Amino acid sequence: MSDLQAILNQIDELSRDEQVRLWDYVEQKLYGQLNMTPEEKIAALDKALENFWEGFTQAEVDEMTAEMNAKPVDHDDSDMFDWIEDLSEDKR
Amino acid sequence: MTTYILDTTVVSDLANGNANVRTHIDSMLKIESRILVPSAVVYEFTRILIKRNATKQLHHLRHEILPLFEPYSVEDEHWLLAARFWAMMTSTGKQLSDVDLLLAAITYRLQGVLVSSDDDFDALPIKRENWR
Repeated sequence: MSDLQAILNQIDELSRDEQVRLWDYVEQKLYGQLNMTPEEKIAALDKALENFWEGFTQAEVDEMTAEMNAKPVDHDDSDMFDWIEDLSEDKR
Repeated sequence: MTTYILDTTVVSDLANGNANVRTHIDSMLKIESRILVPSAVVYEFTRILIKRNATKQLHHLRHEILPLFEPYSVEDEHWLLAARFWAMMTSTGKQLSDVDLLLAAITYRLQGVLVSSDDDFDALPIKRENWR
C-alpha cells in the first residue's frame, strides 16, 4: 500500500471536525501564498531566487537553460540528415 | 483583469535573474494580475532539474517559487485545440513543440496574454508579450 493510500485511509478514520481542520491545513498549504499581498509575494520571490543556482557553474546553468528552451527537431525533415550521406559507411 | 501565461523561457529568465523579466513580473504582481504557470511549463523546467540532479533548485521551484503564481492544469480541450494549432502551423511550414502548442491553446481559451520571447507564436491567433 502506498504512503498516500495509507494517509487517505487514516483520513477516513477522522471525525468530521478533524477533517475540517485538515481541509483548512491543506488549503493553507496549497493556496496560502496566493493570498499574500503583492509586496509579500515580491519579497518571497526575492528570497526564493537568491542564489537559486548555487552549486552549479555559469556554464552548467547556460546548458540547462538551453535544454529547457530547446526547439523541437523535425524528424520528418530528411534534408536535415543529408550530411550522413557524406560519411563513410563505417562512420554512419 | 489581464491573465498572463508564462512560458518556460520566462521561468528560466526569472531563475537566471533577468532584470527586465523580473521588473515586469513585479509590476504585474503589484497590480494583482493573474499570472499562470501551466503544468506543461513546470514539466519542461522540472525535467531538466531532475536530469541534472538539481535537488535544491527543484525544492525551491516547487515549494517557494511556483506557489507564488497560479497553477493551471492542462485539460483534454487544450490538447484538442493544440492539435488544431499544430495542423495550422505545419500547413505554413512552421513548427512549435507540443508544450508550446498547449500554451497557445491555454492562452486562446483564457483570452489571456502569453509571455514568451519566441516569435513563432505570432503565427497563431493569440496575444503575446516579450518581457525580455
